[in-house]
Amino acid sequence: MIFYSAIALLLALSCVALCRAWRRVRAFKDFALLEDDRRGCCHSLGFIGCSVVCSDITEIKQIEKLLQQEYERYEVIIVLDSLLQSNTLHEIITRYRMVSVNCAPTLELPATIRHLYRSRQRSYRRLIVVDAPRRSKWDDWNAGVVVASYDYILPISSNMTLYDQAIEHLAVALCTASPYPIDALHSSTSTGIVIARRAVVACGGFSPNFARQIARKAVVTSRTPIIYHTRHTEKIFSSHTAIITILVTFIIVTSAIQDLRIAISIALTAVMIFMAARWVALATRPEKCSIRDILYQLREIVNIFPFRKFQV
Amino acid sequence: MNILFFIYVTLMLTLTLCFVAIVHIKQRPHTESQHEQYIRQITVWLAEEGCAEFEIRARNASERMALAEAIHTVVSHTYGNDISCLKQIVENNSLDRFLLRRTRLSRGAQRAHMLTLMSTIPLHRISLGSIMRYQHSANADVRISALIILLAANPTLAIRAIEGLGYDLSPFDIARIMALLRRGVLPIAYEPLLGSDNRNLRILGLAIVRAFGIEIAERRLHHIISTDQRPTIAREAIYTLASLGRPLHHAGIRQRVDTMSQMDRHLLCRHLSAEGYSIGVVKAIFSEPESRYAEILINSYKRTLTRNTIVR
Repeated sequence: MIFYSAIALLLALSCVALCRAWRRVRAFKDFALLEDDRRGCCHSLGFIGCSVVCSDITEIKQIEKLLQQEYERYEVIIVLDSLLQSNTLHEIITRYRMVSVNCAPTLELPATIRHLYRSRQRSYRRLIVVDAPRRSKWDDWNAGVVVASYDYILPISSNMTLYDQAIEHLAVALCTASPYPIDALHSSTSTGIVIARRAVVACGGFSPNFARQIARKAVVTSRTPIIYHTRHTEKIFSSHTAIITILVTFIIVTSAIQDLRIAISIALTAVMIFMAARWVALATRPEKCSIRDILYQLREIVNIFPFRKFQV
Repeated sequence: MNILFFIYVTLMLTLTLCFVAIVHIKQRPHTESQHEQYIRQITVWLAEEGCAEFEIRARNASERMALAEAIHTVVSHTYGNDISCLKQIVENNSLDRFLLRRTRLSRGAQRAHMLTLMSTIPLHRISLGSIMRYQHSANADVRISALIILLAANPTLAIRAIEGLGYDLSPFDIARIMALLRRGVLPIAYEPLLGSDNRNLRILGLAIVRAFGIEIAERRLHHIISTDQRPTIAREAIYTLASLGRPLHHAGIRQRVDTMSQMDRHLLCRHLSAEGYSIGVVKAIFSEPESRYAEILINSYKRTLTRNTIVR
């Protein structure tokens, strides 16, 4: 009886993991096929613009990667606290030749902004730096929304960056989504959610309960790959790896005591799912696939509770 | 029980080996691809007057696909190619029938990609009737790709084809048609499009005016804003005027803006601010609270002259 239950459970887990892996690979392959067709067609589609609001960004490399998106109506808003991150702020201002511009408070959202910086150089006109007191990433994002010029907001934080042509694919998804315009667009193949600015203002700004305030009907799900995690912090990565290893080892050892066949089945299933995660990692980032990417994909495809509401 | 165990183990081992094989194939070092070789050969062919003496032959399905993609790449990135040379390549390799067969067998983004390849190769033997059925596909990418083929094959009937569509073209569909226009494949003037009552034709006409900066169409745009009963068309016309940087202080525009919903008014107000219009123009069109908000946004684009811009 235990053996049948174990096999049934393992089979169910394998099926879920394989379906998820197949869907993710298929989504990325589809977008790779459509990439060339969409390149050069996506200039200001339907006047849709996207403001990427970044909290806790500390590396210039990450800003450079964000600025590489080619969509016309797009801007990157970096929110920093000059008192806590004065070196980073100085480095960004020097590197991108930023100047302080007028910034008067608006009543739309409760956000405190000390200074607002834009670049004097035309090639960096998309970059905006906001100096605001750092309390939480939600307050940073609210400060970014207040100064955003475009109608769709994409909030990201320190360990995230955008896939190539993510904004172009997003713009296409937004302008073809039904009903158009929409309140939010959620990606089913990667993390990331794009929210209409008016929806953010209507909900009173970003907060830990923000996702609950948006009506489910107003959220469109798309396969558009938006964000991937560049790296997890060392601490989180080590703890996740340790937990997974200990758990799997414990299960195998315990089941070996009960029935060796169960232990072998579990071990083989774990290996198969790991190889599937490697396949997905290679499909999503063919140029650079590290063990972290594999573990990230592994976590995504074996997530037992996929039907939770989208999160910001 | 043992049988079940062996079946399960075999299944897991097979899947694992499949993933290992897929990953191994992806990670094989690539020699110069067939696609790049064909691009070079086609470019030499097109450069030689009266076609070069060597033949371009594809021996199997993967080479045919590479050849079709090479033709697509060359045609998409160049202008004024000799169509007779390309027709000869297509005829010698039966590329049109090959792509049509592949289109029938594929689905979704694959099918859309095949149709996009067919839109750039000169179609020889297949009838356009076999393409027309894809115009009714549920997949938006497939629909627009099929339409692009029909427009490219019969440019003189383009207006009638667009007029006869049973659905509204999205901004991305319009962008794909505009790409065709920019390649010089679709000789359409903007006047009959703006003068037509059909929604799709009008939207296309507005896109042409916007893309090519046709300022002399200003009067027609004002006529559309004043007379067209459809809010989306009138809104599009106002946005087109704004993108041309034309004056917006006409009574017709003010009346039309007064009939818009609050959400649309707010979006338009932000759009005009981002487009660089002065606060005077915004105040002439919008009410006092809306203008106040726009004033804050417009001023944020201006440098603070009295503030110390050097961050110490």
